[in-house]
Amino acid sequence: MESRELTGTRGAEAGTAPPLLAVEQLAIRFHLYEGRAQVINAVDLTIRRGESVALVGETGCGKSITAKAILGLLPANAEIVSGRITFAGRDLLHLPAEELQRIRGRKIAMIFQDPGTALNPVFTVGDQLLDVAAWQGARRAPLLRRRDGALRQRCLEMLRLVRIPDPEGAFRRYPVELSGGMRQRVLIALALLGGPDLLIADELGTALDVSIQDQILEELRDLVHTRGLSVLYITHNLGVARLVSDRIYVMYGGEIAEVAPTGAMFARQLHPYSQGLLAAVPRLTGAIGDGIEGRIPDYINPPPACRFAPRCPFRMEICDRQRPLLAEADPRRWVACHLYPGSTR
Amino acid sequence: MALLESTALVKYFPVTAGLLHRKVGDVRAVDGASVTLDEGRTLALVGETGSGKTTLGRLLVRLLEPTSGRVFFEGREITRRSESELRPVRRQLQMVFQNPAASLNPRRRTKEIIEEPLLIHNVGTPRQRLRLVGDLLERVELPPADFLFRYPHMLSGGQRQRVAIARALALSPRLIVLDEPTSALDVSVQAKIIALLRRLQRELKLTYLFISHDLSLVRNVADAVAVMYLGKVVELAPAETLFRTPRHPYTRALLSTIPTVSDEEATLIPEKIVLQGEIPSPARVPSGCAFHPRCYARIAGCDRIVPELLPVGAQHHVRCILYDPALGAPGLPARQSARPPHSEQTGAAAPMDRPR
Repeated sequence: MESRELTGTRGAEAGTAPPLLAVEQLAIRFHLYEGRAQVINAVDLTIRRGESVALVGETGCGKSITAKAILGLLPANAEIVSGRITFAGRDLLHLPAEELQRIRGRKIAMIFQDPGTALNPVFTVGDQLLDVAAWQGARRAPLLRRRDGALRQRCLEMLRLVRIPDPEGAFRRYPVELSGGMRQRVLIALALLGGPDLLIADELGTALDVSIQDQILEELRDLVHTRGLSVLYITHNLGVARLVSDRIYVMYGGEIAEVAPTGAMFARQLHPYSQGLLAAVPRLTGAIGDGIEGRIPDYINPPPACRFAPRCPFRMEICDRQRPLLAEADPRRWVACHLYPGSTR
Repeated sequence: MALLESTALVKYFPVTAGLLHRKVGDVRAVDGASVTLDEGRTLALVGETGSGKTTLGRLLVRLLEPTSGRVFFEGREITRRSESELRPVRRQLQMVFQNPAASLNPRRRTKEIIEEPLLIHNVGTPRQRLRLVGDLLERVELPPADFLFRYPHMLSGGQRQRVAIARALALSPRLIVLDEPTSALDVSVQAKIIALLRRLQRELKLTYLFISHDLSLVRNVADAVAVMYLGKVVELAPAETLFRTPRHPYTRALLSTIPTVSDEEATLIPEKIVLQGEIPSPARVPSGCAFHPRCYARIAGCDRIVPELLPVGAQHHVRCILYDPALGAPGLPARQSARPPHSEQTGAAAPMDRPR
């Protein structure tokens, strides 16, 4: 908590340098039995070097799909309709598969969500680390290379880095022999092995108890700061986003509703959805809002203009006619809502 | 008046090994829990995974048989009654489970799901039952015309949990055990379900046992809170008291690690307490105070003396020898931050160097 002032401004210093990751006007649809679902709609997202960004939203808002699109891991029935994803100046969407392989897992690494299922139960932790460390193409690395002492050292080093108490012991163990917290740490070590510039953390720690979640989030936050990594946190937990991120993107119905520096977002929310979402979070001081009426949009027949309009307490006539644009409402704050003049054409 | 009360409730699950499944130990899921549920009020059981909160909830409504200890409903013991003697009591005690996707039969329609308890207890004629199911759906704010004949997969998560609540209400119970009723839901839906549960409690004078790992949520629903750690209640207090003046080192640590969304919440527990390690397995409970290996306020004797639940204020009980008058009741030291100031402000020490 002590770093609140610090985190609010750190992103801005990078100012004019080109972002490490830029998602521009991304649109993705899914071909389903019921029809074509327009899930991701004109999503813009940038992450600067050394910046931690949180993408928050509720179930079905498209936050995980966005992450999968960045990694090129969309399911077969997904179709990228338009948009660009650039990472360190390279267009990820039009990269040959082989080159994408060299970036994915190395330069962009994913920390998986469920420590219970993301590790293979029939191989030891060490085997799985070595596999990733020795990876040199599409195939499993030859056994000889995996016996390499230097590789082993690098893996142990990673386990130490994520503060696993007995790295040698953990290296020999199977995932089931480790606690949930330790497995999550192994997953972080796996992601760090390739020396990534960008980490994508999907619901990190939300499957764990709060005391363990807190340890892991704080340790990762420190690790990220000292190594100057960029992180995209995907989370539905606003408290977690507040703890770890410099900037927050609020997503609703496959669109970005609001973007703001973390401190500013929690001080005042501009978009009615952000307001409703934050009000619904139970507080330790004994306050809980009423929640938000209705449910997430049907992606096959989404609302014609603003996707939040049917649930919005401030709905106006224009909201059903014209899609609000993501526009700068305050310095460094962007919102897509007709309540703010910039969003209306 | 106490509606439901337990004294020294214990549940050990045997651990077996080998070909003959010989018993080699016990998982001490619940180890001597005495709790009281007052009529029309909400008692929350909070704790981390493995603390025994769900087991205790199930023992209290006799979904599980206790190893020892007694449960009283309206002053009468229900622990030693046979299943047929228990029937009339069962109507009074209902349960809502955590994951509505798993607790509703996917092959039954809403109407059949809610009607099931009525059938089991031979309530009414088919016509009366249909009307009753309609009324119950109205109560949980689902228009019957729309929802009577839907299958669970045609409902959203929030709607499913409403159906589960309607089913629990079918027999007009006095007490409902809510086992993590909203943890599978999004916050905007959770807030709606909580509002519904509060309204139902007011209208029907219900008593709730609310089981949750989410302290922020508990703060908003409970009248009294029991914090559990490895099968034991370590702190018991009215909600206001517990959140304003938590006494047990574990409760303080737990409160300080909750990710919050406002600065006012952070002022409740000003210092951040990071616990060492993880909750041990209930099959290997540490000696003395079960919390002592992770405790930052540990004193000599914590590893030997099994602490009792001691009164420290109005209806406020703590299981910690720091509050034992026989030891001079030293209480918690004023500053119990378990770690050095955060390293990132100075930008010096790498996280690796921080002592564990």
